[in-house]
Amino acid sequence: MADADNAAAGTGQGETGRQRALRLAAVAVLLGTFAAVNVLIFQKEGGHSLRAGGELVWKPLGATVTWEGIGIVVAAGLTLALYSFLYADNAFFKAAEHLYVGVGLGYSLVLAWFQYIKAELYVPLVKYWVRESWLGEQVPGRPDWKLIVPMILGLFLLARFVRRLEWMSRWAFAFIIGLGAGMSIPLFIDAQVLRQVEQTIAAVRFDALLVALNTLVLLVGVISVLIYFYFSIEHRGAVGLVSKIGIWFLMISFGASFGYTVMGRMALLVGRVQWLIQDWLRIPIQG
Amino acid sequence: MHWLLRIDRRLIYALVAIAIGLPTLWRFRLPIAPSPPVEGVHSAIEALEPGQVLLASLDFDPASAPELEPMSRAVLRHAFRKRLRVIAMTHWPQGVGLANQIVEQTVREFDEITVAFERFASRQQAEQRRAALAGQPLAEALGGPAAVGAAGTAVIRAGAGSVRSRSGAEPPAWSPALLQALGQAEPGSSALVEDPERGWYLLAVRERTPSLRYGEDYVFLGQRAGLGILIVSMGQSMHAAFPADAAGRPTREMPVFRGVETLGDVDYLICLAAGNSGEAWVAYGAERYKFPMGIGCTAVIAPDLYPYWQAGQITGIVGGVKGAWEYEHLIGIPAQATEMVPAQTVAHMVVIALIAICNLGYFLSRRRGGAR
Repeated sequence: MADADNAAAGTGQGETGRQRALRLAAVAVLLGTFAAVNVLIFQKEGGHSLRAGGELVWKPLGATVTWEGIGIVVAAGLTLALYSFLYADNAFFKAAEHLYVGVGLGYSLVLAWFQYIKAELYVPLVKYWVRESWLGEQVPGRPDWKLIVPMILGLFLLARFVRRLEWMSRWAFAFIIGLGAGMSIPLFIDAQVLRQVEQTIAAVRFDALLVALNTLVLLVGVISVLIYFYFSIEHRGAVGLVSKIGIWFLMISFGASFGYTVMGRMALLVGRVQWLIQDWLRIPIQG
Repeated sequence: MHWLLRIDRRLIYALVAIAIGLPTLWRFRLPIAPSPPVEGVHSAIEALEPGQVLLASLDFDPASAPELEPMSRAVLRHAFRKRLRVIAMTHWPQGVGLANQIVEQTVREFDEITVAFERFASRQQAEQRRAALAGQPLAEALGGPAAVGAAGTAVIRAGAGSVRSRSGAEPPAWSPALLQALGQAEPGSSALVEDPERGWYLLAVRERTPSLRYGEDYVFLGQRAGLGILIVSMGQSMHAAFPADAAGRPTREMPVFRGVETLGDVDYLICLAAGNSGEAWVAYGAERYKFPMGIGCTAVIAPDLYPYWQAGQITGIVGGVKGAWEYEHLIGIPAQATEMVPAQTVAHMVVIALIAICNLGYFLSRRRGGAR
């Protein structure tokens, strides 16, 4: 039902003329309020120009507008547009969402070029070919020839897009998986299995009440959860009981994980609300 | 009782928004008892001697910044206050700019900042004085021969929360918010500040003198691809893995790398991670090259890291904003996380109340043969 409402609100399907007029009026009021709030903030002493280094753009209506201030207004507008989805799907949310996807993709491409392709391949190897062979320039330094191998393997990955050459990508994948597995498996077995099993066994200490309790909980938890995941015998009788204890441990663990997840998501929301109140609206904080 | 199961979700959003908004506007203090995992990271860094090397891997992007930025700043403040050498880097390509900004801004907080001020009995008097000085450089005019209020100067290091020297009248109480603002303020910036006990202060930043030097006290290496392979490469040679820093300056000539050839020469590593790089640092780095490390992480990841802490593979965990709040308390510099925790606590209480109410509605409906 809520989804249907959202869809209808977003597309405006099935609207009467009066509803459409009301919707447009609501949009105009929201935009007007946002504009008015920003004008007031810019006019307020200090406004968005607290940093002396802020570059002055222009001074309309007694306000001091800086690039930093404009950035804050744009960020606030986009934040509110994205949060507007909580009420219902709407055009502002869609615009902000599409902008986010587009900017994100563009940013990733630029990063991929500057962080990886240019820094790791073009500068140490390819630029010598381009500038010496094609442009006839003399470039100081020597090309790093060993980069030819990863470059070719990287090009092989792109062969997946050509049906006849698809087989070439398997060489690159074989290299990546082989190297990755060879490096990771021994190290992760050591770090995530052996060291932790060793400490679980070594942790049987009864020198203090809390330590002893912790040891017992750890021991019962590990054994009962292992038995819950042991499917070669039927979970009946004593095995069924231990298996049920295992389920309780798992549920408590999921609950703890979910609690931490709520905490994390709330922190992101708190961070954003604080930013809106302090950095955008510049409301003084009490206490 | 069916209505309890059909609460409009928008009402819930509104309640959460109010629960976060009000404590943000009217803050209150909460009792705090740092947890052992956070103390584990703090005491490991506290045990280091000045000049020892802390490697900070800031592996997050702006999406996780509200959780990880406060703890990153707190750990860096702790390190710089102890005069450790800090080598910072990131595994996240989207996090390069953010990580660099956090390091540079924290370094700026340790500048020696000369603040000139005049004290007034009321806000009105302070504003009149500011109006009278309009058009003049406030930083020079304040406390000058024509001072109206009780005048003075103070040299502070905002990041360390300390006053190096002062002269003239009693300065305002250096609240965390004021120190935070002064830490980033440019020379010439001014502010009107209320001290509940002493009155109103008109203050201006006269000058800043850097106390930490790039390449000597700290360095930002930027990012290179590879994660596990990069860590192994750093374990073999730091300079082969990072021949240059983020700005392209050769690392081999930097004094901050004195005595640091491989990861094994690092005295402590703190990984502040939104993803799985903490586990990668343990598996590829700490276990293989034998250096102590701790992890700061988003709350979502924290439960997965407890086995590492219990097994003694890491000295501690700083989990989410709560962990950052505890860390800020331990170093005695309340900052961003301390500001966030009241709002987060009230929001948690609202969520708990809603869960309880909805479950009550569910069980009551079921007892009456209603919705299942």
